[in-house]
Amino acid sequence: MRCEHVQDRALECILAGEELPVGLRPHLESCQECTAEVARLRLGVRAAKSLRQSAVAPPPGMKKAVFDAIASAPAGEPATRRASWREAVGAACHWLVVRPLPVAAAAFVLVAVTVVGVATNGSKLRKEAWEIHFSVAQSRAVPDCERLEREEWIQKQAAFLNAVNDAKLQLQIVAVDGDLATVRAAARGVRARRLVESFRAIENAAPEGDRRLASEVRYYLEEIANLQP
Amino acid sequence: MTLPDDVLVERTLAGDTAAFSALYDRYERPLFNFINQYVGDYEAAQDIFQETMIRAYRKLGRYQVGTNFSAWIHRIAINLAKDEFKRKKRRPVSNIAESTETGDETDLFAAMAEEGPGPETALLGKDTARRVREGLARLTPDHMQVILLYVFQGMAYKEIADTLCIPIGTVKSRMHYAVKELGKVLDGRP
Repeated sequence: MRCEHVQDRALECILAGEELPVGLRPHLESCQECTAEVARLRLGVRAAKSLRQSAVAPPPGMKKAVFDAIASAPAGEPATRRASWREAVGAACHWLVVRPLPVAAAAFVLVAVTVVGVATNGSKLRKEAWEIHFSVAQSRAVPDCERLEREEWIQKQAAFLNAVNDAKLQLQIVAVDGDLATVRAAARGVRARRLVESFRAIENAAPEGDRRLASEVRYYLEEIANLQP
Repeated sequence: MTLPDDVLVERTLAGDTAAFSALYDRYERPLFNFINQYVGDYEAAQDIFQETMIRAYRKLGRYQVGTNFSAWIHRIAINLAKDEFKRKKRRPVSNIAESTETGDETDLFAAMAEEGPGPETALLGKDTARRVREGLARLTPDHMQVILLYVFQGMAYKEIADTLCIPIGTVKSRMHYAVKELGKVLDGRP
């Protein structure tokens, strides 16, 4: 039995407050390193759980403040159920016509990032996904970017999607609340020019039905890129 | 009977504010404590928590029922906290961690050992608790998130993975590292 497996299994049990399985005992009795590691993990879990002791109460009046803010929200909120990404692109096209360009641009970055996230699930677009991941990850100053680079693809893909989710949330906020400066910053943040390049690749690889969509989104991304100072 | 999160979400979306109030009550304490420990600043935690709740309400239509509301609302909080870190340029390492007070860590380990092998939830001394918070503040945000989601939400690996949008394997390795680091702080061999 490998030490790594023993330690992982032991940690699961300690976290769950369970006894260590009998099957681990022979290894632990013969491996000093694992015995020491398990002791340290016990101590660490004990320390972690003790943090509950330092739990604090939120200040009084917090709930009232939240609900006052909610009550003052514009009519119609919370928003209705989110449209599918295809519907979102259609709505975004409409937005570009009827809304000021910067706000519409931010919305298109949101749609584009979403579409990239969906479209790059396939292995064919791995390279593009990785490029986008890096541009997004760098913009979000992900601290362990270099470490992620050394990990397997599945890890990279998850990190990429994580970064995309971050960017999405940020852009959702910008699309609703943003001013011109914020929108420009957001556009820079997702490296719109890099996205345009990636969308060219996606256009080539996408099935017929999605190619037009990718093409449309790329067009608007180019508009966003032009917004950058 | 406790209604599932998704039912409360549906009712909120149908215009029932009381349903959101129930969601609020359910998440107030654990989420606030998660944020408070994560940012290490009680004042900032209040702002982030408040904004998280308001944003959760306003964006509730974007939540996909059938996924995981807890993961969703924690992601909002984490993203807001990240913005706070960026605004302050770095995580405000807790004033506890910046303390210059030193102690005999070996004695501390001995003191904990004397407490016996009892349950991991056994109460720790005041000084020990302070050192635990100090150890927590030394973790990177990535490692801290994993620990705090486990501690304050009782989340399992899978739920933590969903919340942070990372593979379970990464959760396990981060948890292992974080727990080990906390253990190191306490056994005096950082």
